Order: sequence, then C-alpha cells, then structure tokens
Amino acid sequence: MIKMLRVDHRLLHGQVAVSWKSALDVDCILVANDAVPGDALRKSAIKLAKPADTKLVIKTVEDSITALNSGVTDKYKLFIVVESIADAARLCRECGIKYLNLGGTKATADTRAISKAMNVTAEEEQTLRELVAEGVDVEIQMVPNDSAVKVERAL
Amino acid sequence: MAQIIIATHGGLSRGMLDSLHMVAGGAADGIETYSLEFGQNPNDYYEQLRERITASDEQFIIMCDIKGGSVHNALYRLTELPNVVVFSGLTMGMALEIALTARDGLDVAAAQRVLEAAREGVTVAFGGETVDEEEDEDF
Repeated sequence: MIKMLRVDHRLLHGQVAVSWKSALDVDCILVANDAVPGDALRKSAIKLAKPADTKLVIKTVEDSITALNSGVTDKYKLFIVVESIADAARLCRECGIKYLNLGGTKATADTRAISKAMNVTAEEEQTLRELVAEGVDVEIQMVPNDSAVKVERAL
Repeated sequence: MAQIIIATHGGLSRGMLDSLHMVAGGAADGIETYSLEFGQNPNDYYEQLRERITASDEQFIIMCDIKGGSVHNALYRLTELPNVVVFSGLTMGMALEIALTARDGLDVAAAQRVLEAAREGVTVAFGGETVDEEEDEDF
C-alpha cells in the first residue's frame, strides 16, 4: 500500500524522513530517481538518513514503476520520494497514484515560489494543473506538523 | 503537556530553535530558549525556573549545551524537583527527538531513547576513503 508519494529535491534526508515515517507509520521507503542508483556516494549518504526499522529501496523511476505495478510492494506501507514534479507525474500516471505531497523544490532563475519551500517552473506549474485535472489530490506540506495546502490554491 | 527548554551559552539556543522550526515545523512551537549572556549569572535563571516549576504540575524538560558548563551546573540542581528532566550535550538530533516525541513528557525509558538517538547521530567520515557500501535492499 502506498502511504505517500512525495516530491523533495533533497530526496531522503535526516529527521524529515523520521517525522514522516512516524506520522504515516511506514515500514518501507522507496527513493525513485534516475541518478542515485549509479552514484555510490550519494546512495550511501541517503542510507545514512534511513530511519531505524525501515526498509530502504533505491531504484530508477522506470524500475520503480515496474516494481509498483508488479505487486511486490503491496505488502509494505510504502513512502515514495522523488526529486522532481516530472518524476512524480510519471509515477502518478503510470501507477495510478491519486495523492501527491509537495515537500520542496529548489529556487532557480526560472522558478517562482508557490510556498515557503516549493519553487516551480512554468512547465511544472502546467504539470501540476494537469495532475489536479486528472483527479490527483496534490497538497503542499513540508513536515507532518504543518497544515496541508491544496496546490490549486497556491498556483 | 511538557514544557521544553533549550538553555545555552549565548545564541545557540535561539539558533537551535530556528533550525528545529525549519525541519520539524509546528512540532517546535512552544519550546522556550535561554541564552546566558556576558555579565549574567545562570543561578538567577535557576531561581526563576525553580519558582515556576514548583508552582506547576507539568514536567519541565531542559536541554543544556555542555555537560558541566555553568548553565548545566546551575540547572542540574533543578533535579531536586520531581517534575524535571535535565539533559546535557545538546545536539540537533537530541532536540528533534524531544520535539517530536516528548511533548507529553518523558519517563526513564523514553529519556534513554532520546540519548540513543542523539548518540547515533554523532558520526565522522574521512575524505579519500572508499565508500563502505552496504548491500542494496530490494522489495
């Protein structure tokens, strides 16, 4: 069962992982990202952030979609983290995920801030609007103690 | 509800609370800070706190920066009161663990878990050494 799909440009990090893990009662974390599986140093850094008593699986987005659709993940209470809105949209569309949590994306010259921690390009904004139109419940919430804001109210 | 206090030499306590808000959001609300400044004596703060704690039924959880420092020395004496827990060796891991798990108070076992979380968070890594790769997990 997928407990949450989250966009966070820092992927899995420290106590944010711990606070979501305890708030959602998850037992498995999937980092779905195309760069990390081939990057030993980044992979070991992410493993440092792994909460105790939790399984951590790191896969490319494509392999993640295959695993999610095969049913092998059904027995887990799963927390999925991706780096970008584009990766999140692929998972929503190809795995039928209907809830998306926006945790944080980096500010660049091409982005505008839609919350304290979320910065989106025009293209990403379009993607978010499409996801909402497709029936995905998209909410901005950095940590469990913050209140969640519907993305359509922030765009 | 427990009252949580971060007590340090100088501005560390205020900075720690700022960092806690960044990663834990509202879980850090209501945490107090004490900063000892030049020319102040932490015993004055001890006296103030002692009065508040004596008049309260709540548990007071106090995190001090350094073991045996003047802030810790002064506030450690509050443990003569039953509703007080005093930690030393403040780290962000310790403060987060307390902010996230101790809002309703700590017993001895829970305080031990806070210490373990704080100690587990203290690590070192040297540049230039091969990455010690654990085996990858799969579903």
